[in-house]
Amino acid sequence: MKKIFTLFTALLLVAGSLFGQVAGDSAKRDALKQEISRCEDSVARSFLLQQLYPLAREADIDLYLSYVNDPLCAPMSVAALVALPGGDKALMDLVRTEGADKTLLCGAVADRGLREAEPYLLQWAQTAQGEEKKAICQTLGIIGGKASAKYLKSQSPADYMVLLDNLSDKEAVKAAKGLLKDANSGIRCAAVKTLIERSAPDPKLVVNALKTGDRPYRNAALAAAEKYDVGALAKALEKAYATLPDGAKTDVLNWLGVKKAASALPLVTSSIRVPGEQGETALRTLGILGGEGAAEALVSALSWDKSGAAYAALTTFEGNLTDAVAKALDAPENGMQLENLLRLCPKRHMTELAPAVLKLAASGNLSAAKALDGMATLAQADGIAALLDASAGEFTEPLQKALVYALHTETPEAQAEKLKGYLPTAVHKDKFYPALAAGNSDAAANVLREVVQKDASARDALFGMQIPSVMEDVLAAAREGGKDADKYLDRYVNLLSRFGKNDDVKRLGYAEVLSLASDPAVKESALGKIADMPLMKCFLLAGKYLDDSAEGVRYSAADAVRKIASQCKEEINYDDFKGSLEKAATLYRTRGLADDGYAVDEIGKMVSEAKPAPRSELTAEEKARGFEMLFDGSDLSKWHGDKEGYTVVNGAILVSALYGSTGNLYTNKQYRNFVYRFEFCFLEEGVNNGVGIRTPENVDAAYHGMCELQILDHDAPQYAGWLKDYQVHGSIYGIVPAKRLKHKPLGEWSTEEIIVKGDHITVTVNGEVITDADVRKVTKGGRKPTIDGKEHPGLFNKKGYISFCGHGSGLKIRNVRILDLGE
Amino acid sequence: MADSRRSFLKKAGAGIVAATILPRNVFGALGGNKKYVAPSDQLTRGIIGVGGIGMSSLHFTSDEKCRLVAVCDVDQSHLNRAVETGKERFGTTLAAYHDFRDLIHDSNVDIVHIATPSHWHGIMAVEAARAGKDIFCEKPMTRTIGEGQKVVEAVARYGRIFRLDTWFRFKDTFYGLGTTVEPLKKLVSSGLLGWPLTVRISGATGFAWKFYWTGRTDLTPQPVPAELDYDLWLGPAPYKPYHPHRVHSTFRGYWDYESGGLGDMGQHYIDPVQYILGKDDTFPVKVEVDAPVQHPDAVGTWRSITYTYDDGCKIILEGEGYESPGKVPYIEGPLGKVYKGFECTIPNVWDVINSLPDPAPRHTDFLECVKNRQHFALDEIIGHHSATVVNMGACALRLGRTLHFDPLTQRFIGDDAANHLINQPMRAPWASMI
Repeated sequence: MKKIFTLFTALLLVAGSLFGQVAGDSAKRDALKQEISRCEDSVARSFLLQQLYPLAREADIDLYLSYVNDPLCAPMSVAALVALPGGDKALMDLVRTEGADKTLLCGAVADRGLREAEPYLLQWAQTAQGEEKKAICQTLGIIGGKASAKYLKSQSPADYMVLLDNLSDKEAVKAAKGLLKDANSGIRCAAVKTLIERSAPDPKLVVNALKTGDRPYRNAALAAAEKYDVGALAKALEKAYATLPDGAKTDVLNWLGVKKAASALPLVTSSIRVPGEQGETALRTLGILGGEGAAEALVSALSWDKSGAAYAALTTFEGNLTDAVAKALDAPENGMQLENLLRLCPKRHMTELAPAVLKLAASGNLSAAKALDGMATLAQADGIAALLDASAGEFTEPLQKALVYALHTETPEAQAEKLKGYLPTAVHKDKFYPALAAGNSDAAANVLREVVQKDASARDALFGMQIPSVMEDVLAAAREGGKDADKYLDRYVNLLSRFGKNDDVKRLGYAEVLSLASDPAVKESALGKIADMPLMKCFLLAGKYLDDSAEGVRYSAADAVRKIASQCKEEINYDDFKGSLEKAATLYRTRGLADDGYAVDEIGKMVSEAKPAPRSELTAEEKARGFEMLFDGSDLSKWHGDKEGYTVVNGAILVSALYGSTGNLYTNKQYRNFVYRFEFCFLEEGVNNGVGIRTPENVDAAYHGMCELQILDHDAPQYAGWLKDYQVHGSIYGIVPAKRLKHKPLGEWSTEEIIVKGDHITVTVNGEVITDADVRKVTKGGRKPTIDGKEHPGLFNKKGYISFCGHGSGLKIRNVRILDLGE
Repeated sequence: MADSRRSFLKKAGAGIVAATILPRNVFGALGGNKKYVAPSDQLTRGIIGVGGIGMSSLHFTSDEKCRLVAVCDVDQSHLNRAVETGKERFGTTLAAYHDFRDLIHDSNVDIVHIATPSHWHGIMAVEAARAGKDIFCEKPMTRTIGEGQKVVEAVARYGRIFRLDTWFRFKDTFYGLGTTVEPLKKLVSSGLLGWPLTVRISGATGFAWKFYWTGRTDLTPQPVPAELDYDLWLGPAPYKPYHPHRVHSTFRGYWDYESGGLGDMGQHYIDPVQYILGKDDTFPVKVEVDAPVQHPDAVGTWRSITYTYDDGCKIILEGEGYESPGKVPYIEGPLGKVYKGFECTIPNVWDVINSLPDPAPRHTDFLECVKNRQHFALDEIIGHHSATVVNMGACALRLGRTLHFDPLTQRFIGDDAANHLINQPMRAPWASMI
């Protein structure tokens, strides 16, 4: 047994790779057939036959027939016979000879509608039991005729119902009548459907069905009357309505709505007062039918105890509602109706009724004040403003919203102007600040900024605005600290996520929030946003918070690193990747929520698929000569400077463009004479960087250092035609042109060696010397102007750092070694 | 974690529980002010499949409106657990069945809840309809297009009420949209976005595809655990040697039973789009796939699946490795776009939306539908349409090519292999049951 399973597993793999390699259905088909012919194991063969099934052609019928007696392969064989042209004959032969599993043959006969199989199946039925008998009945229902009727009627009424499709209308109707009271609800429904669908249209049939107490049956009857003229049937139903049982009345009302039977409007209207389901259905149907009087009736129903159905009908009502609502607003039947109307008005934007509602609000109706938000217009603005200024308690907020809504059709500037106009005379100016803020325009923000100078309470309104320019206001306030700092940081996070110019801006912003915030919830919110940016640097940032003292922050960081890791297309340094994800996995394991198991599995998969970072080592020659490793792939501990723009990724330093960075990375020690070796690789076209020699910090090494040795993808098209010869790779920038080399393709590594001894510089790339010059000689001790015509005051520096200069992206550097030759 | 599949189920579950304790007028009328439900008004339910979804707090419920009376599973340990939990939680002894047909034919059961892997859904739904039972079926509705057609036919013939269990077309926040689908439905119907429309179901628009559900190609056959009736678990599916990864919580990764991440979330995501675009009565005419070659047994990943309707509307699923070009709209027409979180290019869009009448009313309470015999808002016909969108995608993935589809005949055009996948080999005796 074990051997077979192994074989099967192997075949799965064979088939998998076969599907991967072989293109085209017919080549796949040939390959599969060859495998099938060689295959000696039934499990494996059935799998291959399953794969052949979609691709099979008529010519494969014999192949499939040869396996029809193998229980594992038979399903594929029979399915193929069903699907292939010419399969019917083979199927009938199998039926005649009982040449395959009978249930499989039954399924195939039914699928193909092979009526000639009927006598054989009837014969099988005489001795069949259990599954086989069920299969035969089900199949006879589909393909059988009169000959099977008696048998099915007694053995399987559900299949008998199906069989009726194959009988004449007269026979079917007669048979159906006999099953109208079957114990099985499904059979009763099928029977009444057959009765109505296959008799001449006669509303009495439907009415009779409706008189029963069997609800599924009644509705099946109504559904079966699909071909009836809606008007005629509706009329018949209306006539019989009074004689129907209550439940049936509801069914009729539902049906009238579904069919939009407009003629039934009076009947429906007269039913809306019936308590319970029937009345509610009438209200719903009335809403669908619409028409004269419908709006009035529904509006009136808003005054009833159970007005939900009427309200729902009015929200979807198509047609004129204004008149009916206006009348009722003027003289409501009761308080409930008024409440409902005041909910409906803004929902349906009934602006014409805003003056009436404003009047109600002025008289102290809170619901009316709320309703204005959604229906007020400019004409009500001054009135609302006056109410707002004088408002108290729970009236204030709705009136603020109402005022905003009243102005919403104006331009932002006009809105701000209008609201500003209320301030000088307003008694409670602060009530207008939220309305200004809600405008979310720069015009409104400027008004509020002006106000803040005099009245600090306007701060909340200003900071709550959802526009980019407010970010600076909020951040400045947060940086001041104080009790509201966390609140402001939280706002800043939301503004940044919405309006941050680019991912770098956002990331740096979130980093600042994380360092400033003391409330864990704010940190969690920032981490949640970071998680949405699948970038390497976001991964590193989130990773720093996996050990946070607050539990919520730790889990937010875990979610962030997991999400970023699964989506990030940038390379992430293996050690950081593995380290952070494993920390996250530990957190998930500790917590053990429903999804945490998935998270742990997902992390396990990601970590196992990542490749450990390579480490560079000194060669034997270098060891012997006393070289020191400055960067072996693990960290930048021997460097300082812009560690945001220069990050360690899988054994290399990745140089990335960075917003606001200075862009230089310096050795920790200063050097005078040395042999400096490294490897570099361009990831994109046109990369620009350089090696600063004997340079101080934070200056342009090309001028204030001894020099900058160019690192440049000078082959990139963007430089064609204008690049100076002293700018090509390896040049002593502005002073000595290098021999122009041909760079390797993007993504391949080159070696570079720089030897600086006194005033002499030698640059060797991929074994070829491209620069070999004495700068003192070239410049005649500094007296001769350099070829770029610029001052190079640092040219004769005695000592300085070695740096990488630039802030362009797309460069990788690795295996950086130095031999310090001292003075 | 917040957007994970299980946690939204939990959230949705809380919503449903809250809804069911509201007094209903229909029942209230029977007993005055008391919330008494006459036994004849009380519905009963049996769950087939009490593994993950069937045992979830969303579905393993029993209350005065609908009493859970029976459970069925082919894994004895699942079945025992369900019975135990039923005793603890509801204080009743649930009828426990090994064979789903026994549960379906139990005369105490009104509603059959199908919560098995999807290769069983079609057969069970048809059997339940024949037995005169109403049906509550988990998504995806069926595993093949052919099975879906047969479910539609049987439910109509026997006058049954069917609900497919996904719900975003009528309630709950629709993932990246940040709102329910209703406002978007109103906006689309107003014509303000123009026509035709393109919908992007993508991580970038807040609709992540889960690719946990990929199959393994290195399975070494394992002995079948004593508690599992593997033969009956497989049912119609072709025999494959047992491995735990093929069953229970990881079955979606195998074409024999479902279609991976597409089958898992596809109908959740696509069904509401079908509603928004007004495509409940038609099918896409074309499906294109960009995906690695699929293993014949194990479901793999895909970069994108693009569906096109005859009027030019498109649904684009953006999956693993798809390069979203920055900020992409969720829905886009010639006149406007709506992004994640309902950010819209149309000024004052909410005023516009608010001024439109709500969409036509729908029946969204399944138990009410069962009682008053109205079609549920997501019935077998609508469910078959959105399941077919999923299944068309699965066919195109398996064949690795663009397929054309005829919405009238529900068959592929000029592609025999694709048409062979409309119905797939089934084992005896199940081939004859649908």
